[in-house]
Formats: sequence, structure tokens, C-alpha cells
Amino acid sequence: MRQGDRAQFEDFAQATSGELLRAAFLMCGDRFLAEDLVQDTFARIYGRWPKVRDAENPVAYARTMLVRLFISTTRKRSSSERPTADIPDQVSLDTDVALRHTLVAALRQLSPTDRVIVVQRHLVGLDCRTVARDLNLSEQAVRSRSSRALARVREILGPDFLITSRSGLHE
Amino acid sequence: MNDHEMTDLLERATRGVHGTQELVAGGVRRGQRREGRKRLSVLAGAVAVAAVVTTTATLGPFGDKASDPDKDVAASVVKPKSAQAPAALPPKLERLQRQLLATVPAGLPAGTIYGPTVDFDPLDGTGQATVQAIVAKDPDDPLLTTWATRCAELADCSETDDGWVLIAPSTPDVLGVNPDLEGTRGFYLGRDGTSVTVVAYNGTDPAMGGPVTRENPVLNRDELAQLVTDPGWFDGLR
Repeated sequence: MRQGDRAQFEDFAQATSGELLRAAFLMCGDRFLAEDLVQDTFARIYGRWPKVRDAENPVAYARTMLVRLFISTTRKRSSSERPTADIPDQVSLDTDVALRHTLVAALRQLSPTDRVIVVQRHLVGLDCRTVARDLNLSEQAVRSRSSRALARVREILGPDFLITSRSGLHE
Repeated sequence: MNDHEMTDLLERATRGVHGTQELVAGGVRRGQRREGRKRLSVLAGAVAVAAVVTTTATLGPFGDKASDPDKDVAASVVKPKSAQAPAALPPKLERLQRQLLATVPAGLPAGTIYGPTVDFDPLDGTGQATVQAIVAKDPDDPLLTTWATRCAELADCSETDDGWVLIAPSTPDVLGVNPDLEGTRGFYLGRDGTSVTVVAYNGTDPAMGGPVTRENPVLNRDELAQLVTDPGWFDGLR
């Protein structure tokens, strides 16, 4: 890669690393795995940077790559991945760290595909059509899975979670 | 919990998560290493393909049939089925071949294997897709002693003046990501030890499982047969 291209790639990676890492963190449920996933995504884009740069939407390309790598990785280790069961009975939401711990634990109860749908729809803000394309699903499947996933998260977190969470926000 | 509340929770839960320079630098280092490995794997991959084909050719279709030396010798003197000179490539295939060869370093010596890959747009509105080629020249290719017999046994293989052509489906969905991803492989082995493999897909980025960009692979069987038998692949070799 030429020096100019490399500098441009580094700027792109720097600009997108936060968004990709946040999405990866919620999908993987682990900071180390999330960083690994994001670096793998950058590594794959690096080799085809001139093409990605000239694409209509390089950021969308990076998001798609991240999601597909995540799904591919979870398939490879599906036999070893188990939903965590360490959601505390008494949820403390005094800090965002506690909120993060609780929410990540709840998300890990979902299947990897449903986790991607929740994160892409509600954190990244993508529409159903884009999420469906990235996951090779129909739009209808994304809508219904998204709705079921939200219901499941609500069930896991309990009815008082939002109230407690909101009050924690003001502390 | 409605959509807005979920978004609020997710944003709050990731508030302290930021990308760092170390993260980016690690991605760049991995990218550089990956590129280095890719250059090496082009050579290794081509050798592996040749080895698989050799094994298949030796073992026969059921894997337990020993090679018959008499048949091999007899096959090696089979007369060509056709004596027609190869026609010039049509514009679409000529453009694709030019695009693939453009990635090959000038003055590549004979005996070298090269494996260019491009995303090819047939410019007919049906959509672009990836095409991969592996080109090699090895007069001592062990396939040469067995391929005549093997080809005669395969419905998709035919003999030409100068060698043999096999057109068969490829199985690109190695990651199990996208069952709609398809490919068609053309393989030509010349009696002089030249060989050309071209795989045409119905999507881009086949190693990553797509996306699928077209209904069918970007080249049909006839086009693949015409392309792999074209002598133009070796014009750039010394």
C-alpha cells in the first residue's frame, strides 16, 4: 500500500473505530473479543482499501464486514459459547458500568444473530433493510426477530429496570 | 421497553467505550501480515489445487481404483478430437483477461504460478462479480501422465487439440455464510504443461461469503471453456 493510501486508511480506521468497537462490544459481550473483531475487520479492509475507499459508503462496508466476521466467528465456536447466567438478582444501576454489565449479560442470552439485529437497529440506527442485507435475512424476518429480541431483553431485565435505570441516570 | 428506550440503554452502556490509536495500529499490523500471507498463499493454493487434482486423477472417481498404466499409455497417444485453430476471444472475455493479466508483474518468468483476482463487470446490466484465475506452466506436471484417462471418465471434461478442458461447479461457500453463493470453475491442462484455472462467481468477496450480486456466475460454461483455452494467458511470460 502506498504511503498516502495508508495514511488515508488510518484516518478512516480512527474515525470509525469507536462506532465499530461499541457495536462489537455489545455483540461479543467482552472487550477483548470486541477489539479482536474490530482489528480483524480493519485487517481485511486494509488489503482492499483503494476499492473500499472508492465505494459508495466505506463505513457501511466496514459495518457489514464486522457483522459477517462476528457471525462467522460465533458459528466456529458455537459449541463452546454459552449464555451467561450471571445477571445479578439485585441490579445496581448507580453507574453506567453497572448498567453495561447488566445489559451485556442480558444481550448474551440472545442468539448471536438476534444480538446483531438489536445492536445494528438500536445502537447503530440502521434500517431493517440494511440489517437484512448484512445478515442474508428477509426484512420481515429482521422485524419479527427484533421485536421478539426486545421482548426477551425486557423479560430478562425485569419490569423495574427502566425505572431504576432512569433514576440512576440522574444520580 | 420501546425502541427509543432500548437505544438509550445501549448508548449509555457503551458510553465509556472508545476506539484507541493502539486499536487502529493493531488493525494495520494485522492487515500488513495478512497481505504478506496472501501473496504466499497464492503460490501455495495453486500447488494445493494441483495436488488435489493429481490425487483425484490417480485414484479415479471412487477413490479406490488403481491407475492402469496401459490405459495411461494408450490415452497419451489419443489423437486430438478436433484440429481447429482457437478463435480470438470475444470482447467481453478479452477485456476480462486483460483485467486479470494487468495485475501480473511484467516479465514474470515461465515456471511461475500466478493467481490474479478481479471484480468483473460484464457491462450488460447483470451485475459485477469476482473472477479468480490461476495460471501455471510446468512441463513436468505429473497430471500430464494421468489426465487423459481421467478426462475420458468425466462427463464435464473434453479433449482439445492441445490438451483437456474441465468445466465444473465450484463450492465457494467455505464459511457456510451464504448458501446462495455459486461458482463455476474452468480448468485447462495443455499437453505442454501449461494450465489455466478460472473460477467465476455470482457475487463479490467469495472468500467472505458474498454478497451475491447476480443470479448466475458472471461467466457461463462456454465462456469459461473459451477463456481457459486461450493462449493469451502466456503472452506475458518470458
